[in-house]
Amino acid sequence: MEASRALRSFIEQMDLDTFVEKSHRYTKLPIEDLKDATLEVLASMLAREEQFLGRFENIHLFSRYVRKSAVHRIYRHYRKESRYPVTDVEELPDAESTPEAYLLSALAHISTEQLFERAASRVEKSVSMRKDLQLLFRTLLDSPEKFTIKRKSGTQAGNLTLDITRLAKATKWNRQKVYERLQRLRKILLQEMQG
Amino acid sequence: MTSDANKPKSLQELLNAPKKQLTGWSKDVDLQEPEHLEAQDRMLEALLEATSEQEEPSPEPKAWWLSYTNLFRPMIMAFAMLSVVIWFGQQQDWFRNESVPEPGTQKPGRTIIPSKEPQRTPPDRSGSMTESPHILGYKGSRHNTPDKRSSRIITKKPMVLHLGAWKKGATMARRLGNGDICSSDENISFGFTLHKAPGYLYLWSQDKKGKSELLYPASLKAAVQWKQGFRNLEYNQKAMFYPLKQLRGQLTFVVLKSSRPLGAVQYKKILRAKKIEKYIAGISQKQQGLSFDAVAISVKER
Repeated sequence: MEASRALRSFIEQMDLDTFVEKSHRYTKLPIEDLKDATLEVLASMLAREEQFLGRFENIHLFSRYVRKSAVHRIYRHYRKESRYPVTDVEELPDAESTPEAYLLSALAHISTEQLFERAASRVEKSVSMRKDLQLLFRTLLDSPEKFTIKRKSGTQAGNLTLDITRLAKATKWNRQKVYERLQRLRKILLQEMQG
Repeated sequence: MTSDANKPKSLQELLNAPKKQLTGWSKDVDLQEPEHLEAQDRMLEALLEATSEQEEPSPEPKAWWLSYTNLFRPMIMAFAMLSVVIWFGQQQDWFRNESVPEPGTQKPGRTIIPSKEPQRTPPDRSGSMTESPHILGYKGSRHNTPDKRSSRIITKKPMVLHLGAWKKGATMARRLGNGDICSSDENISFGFTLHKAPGYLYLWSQDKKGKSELLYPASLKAAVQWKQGFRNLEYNQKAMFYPLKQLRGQLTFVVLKSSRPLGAVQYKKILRAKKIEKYIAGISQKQQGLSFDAVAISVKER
């Protein structure tokens, strides 16, 4: 019950207008859509309070989850209506200097799907390559925990890395192809973030 | 998103709403697990940081090298396939080069008679010199066949001794297995299969009384390395025969393969052994690089 109260207290602490304004700044999605989606996500969470028992350590993680879920919901809705918004991510105030840090910072606020859809449609011109990247990205998104591993040894021990062998099995490609597509995926994501 | 009439307006309204209404507002909302979203973030972090530092499975060749590789690829493939075919053929003895095999050019032991070489025939066992009509197949030996009649079991022993019995005037030789009976007018030919590695071969015969004789090579110094695969015992491209004319009773043929030439001391010990087969079995267990096979036959008067 304590966790349930925690969820309600997180919602009580929220300033909806500020939250939606911030989401709009990051995603450029319509404010009305963002507000509706946020309320629906919160309603869904309250309807299933017991499922979110102790799932968020603090309000920042809670806010991040709600924002991502709301954006995800908007994109799903747009996809149903075959409507793809042209959105831009404005420069984040706390963005770091490197593109990678900038992207990771942005990812705290926007949906990864949104990011990929935009990057793939704008940056990647080749249809077959776009299909490959889509397959790879979907595979990664469907079970990210399966393909993400921590380096156990070496100078970069502890860093996160992708399990290329598992990805090769899942996509039925050879390791070289997986490696090349991952490089391409990374490139288009960074390119997208750099504008 | 839900229609205007059926949607929450504020956070306070949400917090005060009963569960039924909350369910109605959120009936088509598909929420992902928080851990799943976290995992997605970690995956993206790995994608951005790791792929740039990961070792590439195989380095990309330079453009000029790539073009040369493509140019020569069919030739390389053809060469690789040819090598495989040659290797396989050697295993199967397809390309048996009659002039090459050093073992076949070796002078045989005193009592083995090369065909058309009467000058090498010992005085007491002459008169059965004919070319081998065929290459002997495998039939069985003392150590490969648990039942002497079930001779079709092929085991991958390091080396196998093949025996053939041939009568003068016959077009075909008869394969011999362990325990087979031969008549005194037959001659024995020998073949060896070295399954695992090349080595130096030594062939002895021993009768029931324990009298031993080195049949091959002619002397210890004449020992040469045999290649892997099957080969008949030959001399100048002619199969060698061992006449059974004056022999009766049980006769055991023992072949020893050694990775190194045998020393004189060891040779003498083997020759003096009451049961060569048992002695060699003993030393091959203790000493690495030794393997052996033996076939025993019975010789009866015609």
